[in-house]
Amino acid sequence: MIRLALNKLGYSALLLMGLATLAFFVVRLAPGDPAVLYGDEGADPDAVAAMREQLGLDRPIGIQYLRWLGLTEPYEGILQGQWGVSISKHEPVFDAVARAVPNTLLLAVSALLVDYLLGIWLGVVMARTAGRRLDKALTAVGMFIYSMPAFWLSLMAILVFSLWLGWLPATQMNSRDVDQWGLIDQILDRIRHLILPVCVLGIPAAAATARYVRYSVKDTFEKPHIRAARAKGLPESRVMCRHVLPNACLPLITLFGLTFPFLLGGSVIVETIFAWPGMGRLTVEAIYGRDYPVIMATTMIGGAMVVMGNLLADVLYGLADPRVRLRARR
Amino acid sequence: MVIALPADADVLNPILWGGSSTGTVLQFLFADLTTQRFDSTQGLVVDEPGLARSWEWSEDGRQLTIHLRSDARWSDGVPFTSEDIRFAYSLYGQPKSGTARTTSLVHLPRMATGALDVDQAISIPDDSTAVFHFLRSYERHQQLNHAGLYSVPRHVLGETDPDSLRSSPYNVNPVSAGHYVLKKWIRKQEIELARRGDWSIPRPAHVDRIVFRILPDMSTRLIELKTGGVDVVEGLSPDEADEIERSDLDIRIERQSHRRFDFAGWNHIDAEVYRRSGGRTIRPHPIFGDRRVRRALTMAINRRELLVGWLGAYGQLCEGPVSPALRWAYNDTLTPMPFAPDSARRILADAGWEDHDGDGILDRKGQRLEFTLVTNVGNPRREFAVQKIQSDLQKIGIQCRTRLLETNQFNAGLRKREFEAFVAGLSTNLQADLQNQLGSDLERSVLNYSGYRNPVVDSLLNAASSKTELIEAGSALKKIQAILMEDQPLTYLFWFDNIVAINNRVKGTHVSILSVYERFYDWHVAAQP
Repeated sequence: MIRLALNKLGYSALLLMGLATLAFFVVRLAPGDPAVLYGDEGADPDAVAAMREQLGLDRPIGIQYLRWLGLTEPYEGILQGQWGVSISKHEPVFDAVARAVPNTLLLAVSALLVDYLLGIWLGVVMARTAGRRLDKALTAVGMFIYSMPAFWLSLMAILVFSLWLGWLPATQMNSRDVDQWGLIDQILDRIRHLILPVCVLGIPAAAATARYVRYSVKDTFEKPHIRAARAKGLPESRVMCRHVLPNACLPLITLFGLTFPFLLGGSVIVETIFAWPGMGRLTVEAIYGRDYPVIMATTMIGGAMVVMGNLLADVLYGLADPRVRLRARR
Repeated sequence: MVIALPADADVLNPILWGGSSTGTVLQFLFADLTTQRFDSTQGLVVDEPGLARSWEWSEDGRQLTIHLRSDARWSDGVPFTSEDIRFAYSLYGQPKSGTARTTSLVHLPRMATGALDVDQAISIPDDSTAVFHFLRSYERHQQLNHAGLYSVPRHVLGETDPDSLRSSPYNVNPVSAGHYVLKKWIRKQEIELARRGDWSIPRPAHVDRIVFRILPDMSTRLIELKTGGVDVVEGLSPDEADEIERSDLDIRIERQSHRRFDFAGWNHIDAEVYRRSGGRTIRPHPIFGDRRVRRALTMAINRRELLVGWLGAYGQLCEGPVSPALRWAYNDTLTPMPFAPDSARRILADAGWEDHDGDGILDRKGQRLEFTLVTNVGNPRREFAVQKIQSDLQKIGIQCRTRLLETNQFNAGLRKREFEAFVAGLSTNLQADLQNQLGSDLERSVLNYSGYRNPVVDSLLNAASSKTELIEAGSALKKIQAILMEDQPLTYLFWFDNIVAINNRVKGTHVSILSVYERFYDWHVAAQP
C-alpha cells in the first residue's frame, strides 16, 4: 500500500512540474500586458516600457521561466519556495494565498458536509422507497435543483432570504464591527454568513450524491448477502449500517477524489456573488488582471489538489475494499 | 457612510496604486495641492487653494512656485513640508519603484538613466515652498495637475530602497495627509476610514466614519443598497436605475454625464501590413482609408435608436471627442451627421461601392464591402451596439461580421491597431487634450486606435497645447472638431452616464463630471429617525 502511494507521489511530482511549465507558457503567451493594465489610460509608451522592465517582463520568456523556477539570478523562485510578489497587489503571493485558503476551506468543507450528509441520507430514503411517489418527487426536486445555474440559485437565495425575508446576511464573511463582539456572537455571526453560500454549493451537490447513493444502495439491497443478513433476523438499521452502506458508498470515494480539488480551488461564481474572499475570487481576479505570479500559484495549488484527490481516493479505496489491498500485494 | 466598491484596493500607497477602486479610497486619505471645482457655466475645472495656499508662474511659464499651508500635518502629527513633495517625486521618477504615475513627469527634466532628475526638477527654498522647473511652458492647469501628485511622508519612507517599495508595510498601513485616516483594512472585505479631527483643508469633513465594502457582483451591490447595507453604488445600468426610480425605496439616482463615450472605430491603416512591419509601414486601409466610406458608415447607423434602445435617458448622442460640458472647447455650431441610409448608399456608389454581382453586398473591383466588427465580451452596452450596427449596415449592403473578445485580448488588439473595425470607449479629458487620441505619431498616440493621421489636426493640436490658458486653446479645438466632423475618423456613438445610486440619508452630495465624490467633505449623513 505504501509502495503504491510512493509510486503515485513520484509520478505526481512530475505531473505537477509539467502542469506548471505548460501553465507558465500558456499564461505568458495570452494577450494582455500587466504593465498596460496597471498604468494610466493611454500611458506614455516609455512609462509602460519602464514598468515592463521593473516587472521583468521585458526579458525572453525562457529566461522568465528560469527565473520563476529560481534557476537564474536572483535564485528566488518556486524551487526555493518563493512564489514571488503579486503584480496587482504588490504583496507576497504567499500572503495572498494564505489569506484566501482558510476562507475557501471553511466554505468548501461545510458545503462538502452538507453534500455528503444530506446526499447519503436522501439517497438511502430514495432507495428504500424506490419507484414510489416519494422517490419520484425527490428525484424531480433533486434534478431541478441540480440543473439550476449557481449564479441564479445564489441570487434567488439572496433575494428570498436576505431581501424579502431579511433572515440572513446577503454577502461577506461577517458583519461590520464584528471584532467588537464577544466570541460566541462572532461564531454565530460567521455561521449566519455561511448558511446561504454553503446551501447554494452543498444542496445541488447533495442532489447529485443522492442519485449515486440511491442506485448503489438499491443495487446492494438485491445482493444475496443482504438477503442472508435479513434472513438471520438482523435489525434493519444494522443491515443498513454494517452491510449496505459500506458497500454502497464505494462509488462515493471516487466522487470524493473528484470533489477534493474544489476544496481549495474555490467556487468562482459563489465566492463572487457572496463576496466571499477565497481562492476562487483570487484566481479569477488574477486572470483578469494578468497577475502572473498569482495565477501560477493558484494553478500549482489546483494541480496539487487534483493529484492529491486521486491519491487519496486510491488510498481510501484500498482501506475500504480488501480486494484492492490484495491486488496491490500481488 | 458605506460605499460599495467592485474590487479591493491594491495598495494604499499613492506611488504604487493602480486600480480605480484604489483611486476612490485614496482621495479620502490624501489631500490635493489644489481643491478642484467644476464650473459648469464655463465648463472649466477651477483650482482653489488646498494644501497649497497659493501658487504662481515665472515669466516664461516654466517655473511653478507653490506655497504650502503651514498647518497641514501627516496623520502621525509630523508637519507636511515641501521636502515630502520632493521626496515623493523622487520615488515617482524612479523606474525601480514600479509606479504607474509617470505620465505627469514627461515635462520635467530626466537623467540619462531615465529617472527623474529631482534636483533639477524641484527646488525647495524652504519647508513651505516647492518650485517645479518644467522643460517648457504649457497649459497652466495641466502644469498644476502634474505638480499635484499625492505626496508620501519622507520621515516614514525616507530609508526605503525604491526597489523594495513594493513590499513596504506602508502600502497597507499608510500615514496620510487628508481628511481621513485608515482605521481598518480587511483584505477583499472592507476598508474603514476614520475622520481626522485636526484636518480642515479646505473645510472639515462631516462624516465620522467611511466604510468601503468590497462587493464584486453588481446584483449583490444593489441588494445591499436596497437592504441598507451600503449607501452609495456606482455604475448602475439604465434598467437598474429605472427600477430604483420606480420603486418607493429611499434612494436617489445621480448621474455623472458627458465623461465617457463609446464609438465605432474604423481602422484607417492596413492592419495586416502595419502588424507585419512592426508598425513601420503604414498604408491606407482599402475600405476605411476613404473618408467617403467613413462618412457613409456614420450616416447608415441609426445612432439615436441605438442610444434610446440601450441607454434611454441615461446618455446623449456624441458628435466628437470633446465633451459638451467643456463649453469653452465644445463646438456647438456643427451640424451633426444625420441618419440617412439612402444618402449613405449614394456616397458609397460615388466611391465605387455598388452591388455589381447582385449578391446583395456592395463591391468594388472584385472586393466585397465586408469586415469584422470587434468588441469586448461582458459589456452588454457594446454588445448591443455591435448588433445594431451590424443590422443597420446590412440594410445598405455592407456585410459586417461581429466578434467578441476577452477584455484584455481586446485591449491588447486595440493598442496594436489589429482590428479593422471595433466598438470601444474612451474617457474625455477635462483639459480637452486630444494629442493621445488624434496625434499622427502612432507610436506615442496610444489612444489613436484607428491610426487617424491628419497634418492639419496635428498643427492645431500643437497650437492648442502651446496655450497657457485653457480658454485660449478653445479656438483650435473647435477647428479640430469641424475637421473631425468632415473626416469622421470614428463614428462617435453616445456619451453614457455613470449612474450613481445614493441612499437619501446621505446629504450634500455633488456628483459632477469631475468626480462622483467631488467635495466629499461636504457630505453628511442624516441621523436615523
